[in-house]
Amino acid sequence: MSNRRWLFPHWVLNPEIPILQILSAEPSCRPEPCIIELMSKIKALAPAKQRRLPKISLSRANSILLILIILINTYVILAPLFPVVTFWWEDHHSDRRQALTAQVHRAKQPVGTAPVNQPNHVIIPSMLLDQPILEGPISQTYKILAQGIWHWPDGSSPDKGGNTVLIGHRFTYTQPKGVFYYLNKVNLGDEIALTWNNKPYVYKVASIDVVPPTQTSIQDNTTDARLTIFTCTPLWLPKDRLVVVAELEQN
Amino acid sequence: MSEKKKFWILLGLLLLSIILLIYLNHSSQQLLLSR
Repeated sequence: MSNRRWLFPHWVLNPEIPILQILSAEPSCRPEPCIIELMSKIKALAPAKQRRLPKISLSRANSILLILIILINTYVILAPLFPVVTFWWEDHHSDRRQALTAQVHRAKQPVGTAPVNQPNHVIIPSMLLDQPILEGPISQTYKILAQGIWHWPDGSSPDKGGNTVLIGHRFTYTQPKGVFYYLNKVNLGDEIALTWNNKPYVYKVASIDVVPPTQTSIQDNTTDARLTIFTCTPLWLPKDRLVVVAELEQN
Repeated sequence: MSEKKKFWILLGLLLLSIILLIYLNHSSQQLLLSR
């Protein structure tokens, strides 16, 4: 077989085509004299098989590709809207908003009644948020932001006064519900409670803005004690930043 | 249109969809401010 390999096209060597049977059926046959006759016999068998196989696999591959394209694009369009349903459900079928508002009111009480040994965390009732605040260097930005709210290390902190900056994702395709997904639900005058080193701080929202990512001045230190929270906006193509600035109400 | 042509068009569209998904996911993670 090996010495004849160069004589035959690839489909002749196809194991599904009975080339050996044809050769053995004609013992007097040698490749040189009767090659054309053999080829015609083999060709009569081969084309039917050759034509059918690729057609089936191509149409199947096309169907699979079409399904994949539809799935990916549906996810691209609908994924940013998934958390809206959970917010609606949580807001209408639980008393979470009331519970968080009560926690903010408790934080306004004299320092002596504040809970002790709690991690630094932030409570925003209007967006049903109660999350710990994570800290870490700028080199670990992606890792920390994937876990939750990040306290900007180059900014101030509530106990020092000045501008305390909190950063968090709003939406990513790998994690649709970011910590600040509902930051757009915050309104002027809403209260934000923050526990820092076991001490409560209550802020009142003073401004809500959308700024370009080049406006780094929102992170600058200030003489007054304030809390700056920012995240990405809009959902699908986050080219800007949604900034909420709250002023200290009570220390 | 032949199946072969359809295959290449669909493959191209699939690649474009994947690139779009990667681009949007990448841009949604660029949160830090820079001048």
